[in-house]
Amino acid sequence: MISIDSLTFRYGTAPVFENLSIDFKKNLNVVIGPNAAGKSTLLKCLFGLLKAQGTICWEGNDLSSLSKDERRNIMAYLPQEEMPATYLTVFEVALLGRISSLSWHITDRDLEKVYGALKGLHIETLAERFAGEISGGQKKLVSIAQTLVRDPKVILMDEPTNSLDMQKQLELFDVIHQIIADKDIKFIIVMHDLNLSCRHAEQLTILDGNGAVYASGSPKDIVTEEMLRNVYGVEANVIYDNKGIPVVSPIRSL
Amino acid sequence: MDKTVQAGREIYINIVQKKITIITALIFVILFSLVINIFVGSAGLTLSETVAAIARQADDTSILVVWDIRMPVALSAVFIGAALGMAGCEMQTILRNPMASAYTLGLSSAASFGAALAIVLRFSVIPGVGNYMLIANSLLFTMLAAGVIIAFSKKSGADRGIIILFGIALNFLFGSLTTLIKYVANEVDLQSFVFWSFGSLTKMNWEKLAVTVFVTVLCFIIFARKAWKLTAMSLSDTNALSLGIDVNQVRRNTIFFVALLAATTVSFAGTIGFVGLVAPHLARMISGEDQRYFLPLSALIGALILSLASILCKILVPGTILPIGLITSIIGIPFFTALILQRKRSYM
Repeated sequence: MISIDSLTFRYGTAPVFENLSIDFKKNLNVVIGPNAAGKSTLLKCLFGLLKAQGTICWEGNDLSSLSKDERRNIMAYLPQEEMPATYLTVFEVALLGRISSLSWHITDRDLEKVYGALKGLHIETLAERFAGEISGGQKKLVSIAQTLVRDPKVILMDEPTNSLDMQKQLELFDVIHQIIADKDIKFIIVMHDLNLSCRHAEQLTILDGNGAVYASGSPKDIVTEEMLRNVYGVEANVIYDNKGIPVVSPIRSL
Repeated sequence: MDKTVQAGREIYINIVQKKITIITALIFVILFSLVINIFVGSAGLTLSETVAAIARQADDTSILVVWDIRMPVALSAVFIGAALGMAGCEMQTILRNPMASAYTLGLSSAASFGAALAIVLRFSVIPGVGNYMLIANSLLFTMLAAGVIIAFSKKSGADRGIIILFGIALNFLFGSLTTLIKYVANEVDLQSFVFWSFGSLTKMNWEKLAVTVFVTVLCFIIFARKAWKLTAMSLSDTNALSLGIDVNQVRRNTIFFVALLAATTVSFAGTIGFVGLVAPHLARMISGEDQRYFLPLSALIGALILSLASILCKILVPGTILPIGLITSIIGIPFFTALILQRKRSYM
């Protein structure tokens, strides 16, 4: 799907990561790592908000050979921060996802896409509410609707479960699995929560604190007590549930 | 497939129908206020005499009063009000700050400073403009202030926090420079500057009105063409960027045209506070922030407020025309406060 090859990004002279190479192969890819490992920066580089050296390929094609618009047709990006208290209705926020083709007059296709996206996420009853006055979990869904109306091939998400309670976090992943099944959209998601990541990631990529890839693969194979020591500097137990999914229980900081 | 379109259309119509109705209604109310405004005045014309004079079917004096004095003032109230409403709307949008208006970022202080130079020191930045000295000075300094802000934001890649901070600094700078001029002014000049700064439409004529209309319509078209981009500015910067919008560029362009509106209104009518703040606020409560409606509504509400204020300043003290800037603030602020309190309650 998306592969990056020797990607380097610096803020000023300090490198965030150097010669990073990752091959995202699965439908649901999760990137984890300690604070300041460059996870968010990596997403911004993938989307093109930040310019990194190196190559990023989509299905084997170098993204730098594509125009901005073509690139945005492939990828959508969901920032980390919550939607501000805006006086736009949920419907209008989702509609803005189609901004590159919107004119003064709203077409049938716009209406179809927006309503379809809201309905698919079961938030069509919120359509006429102001996006600023709905709950955090609903706001996240509205943001997702805003990306879906563009029919992207890949959705990049920066810590989408932040500020969501346990149930909403699980619901969010249900939604993601459903989008993958229904629309064949791939995801690259930056996460903090290891246990949630282990449960849902098909491919987990672990960045270490120095902006290098520590491991990338199935959570079962790479989430180990040794990894937690080396990458996070914590002592932790890793146990396995009945499906063989690793569950991390942190003990103390080393 | 069709069902989805249908369901989407139903929601969409629900969202926009009310806005369209209110916009249409407002246009009629403004036209009505315009007629009242032309009718009201100290010359003591009756309604039928006024109508006759509008149709140029009356005696010369009545025609003169109506056509050369009242009509330009009444129409100016509408267009300057619209300009202030629009400028406030876009300033609040790009700075994502409900306290912003055309006068934020020191734009009006710059205009006042230019006016002070003209009124007190009779100094014209562009030589040989004669009677247009005040207008030329105001325009020049406002655009200079805008240019400095734009250049500054370009250089620092500034976000809105830094732009606001820099704007406040400019505001103080021009405010102090104006005070300096007032300090050296003689009594007569000082008085005429103070009177100018109250804000008044009485100096408006057809010529100035034409310029105001041109600038207002031009800026409306420019903003309207960017309606969706400006709408996206009410999301977060990152969100707008993720939609492919160059937020800094939108911000800079908008500041330029807001400055043009501010310069025009201030140089012709002095500082008329409050309209630019309250009109977008009311508009937002009605239409939300979809700029296709938010922008025209802000303009129309601004037009209506200033049109009503223009009527009030003629009838409050019979025989006198109070400065319109005083009316908008003194009457407007209690009204505005009540509105905010009421809304807060309805949200709780």
